[in-house]
Amino acid sequence: MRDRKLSKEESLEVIEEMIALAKRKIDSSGFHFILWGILVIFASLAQYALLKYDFTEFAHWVWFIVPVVGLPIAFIYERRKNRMRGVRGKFDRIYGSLWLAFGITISVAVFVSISNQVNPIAFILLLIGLATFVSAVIYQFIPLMLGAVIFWITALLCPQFDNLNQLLLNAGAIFLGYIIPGIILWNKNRLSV
Amino acid sequence: MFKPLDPLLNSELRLAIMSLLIGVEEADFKFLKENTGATAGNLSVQLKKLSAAAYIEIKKSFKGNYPHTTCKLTPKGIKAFEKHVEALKSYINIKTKKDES
Repeated sequence: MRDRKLSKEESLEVIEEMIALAKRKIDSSGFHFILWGILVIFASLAQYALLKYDFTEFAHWVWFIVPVVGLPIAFIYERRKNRMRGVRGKFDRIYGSLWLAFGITISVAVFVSISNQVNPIAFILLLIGLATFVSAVIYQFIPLMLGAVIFWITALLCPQFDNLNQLLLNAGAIFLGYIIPGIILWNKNRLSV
Repeated sequence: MFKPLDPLLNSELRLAIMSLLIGVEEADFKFLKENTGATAGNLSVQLKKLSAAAYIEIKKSFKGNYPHTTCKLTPKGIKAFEKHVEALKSYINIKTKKDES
């Protein structure tokens, strides 16, 4: 591209082309949905197995694996991505704030639920549904929106199951609502690079 | 009635820079260079011209040991870009109407 004068039609073409280019670069890669999805499924299934085989005392500690493993990986990934991408989208700050607020809310919700001896899974699913829905709107990505609906429906179904089976239900919902849209986004992003 | 075109945005490279920046919060020099296909020297000159007109804000920092330049549209730049697009549209609309009649 040179410093030449443009006709009016050419000007509009340049504007359209560049806006489309910038938009393509700020799409989500789906990495976070896959990362957190795998960790939550692992924690759900691990707690299920520990409870099933009567290791009830330590069973809930497996959930600490989720932030302890997830946060450093997510942090390193974001740092590397921002360094390579060289651009910050208009929605990046909103998106980051949404998931930060989600992390804080979910931590408090789990603490309060456990203190009150209430199973937190249905509330966690409701909150995941909310944050996932807003993310789906930001990225205009229908599979993620369907994922949010799956989380809300699963939360509604939770009271029909005992505490143990709610863990399996949680793992299934995360697989459908996070892992599948995450893999679709990941492949879409790789193809567009 | 024709609306006046902004002479600063009538260059291909400067318009491309503004169009890239309008869709994002901020972008670095490497991103602008890759997406416009311009040479570093030419891009640097055009960025300075846009910055002198207060259309963009240039921030220089360091990433590790390397200098890092990020650019961001200013409110004045956003207004100028929108006015330029409106003016372009008015030319195209009048031309289309003339062609149809």
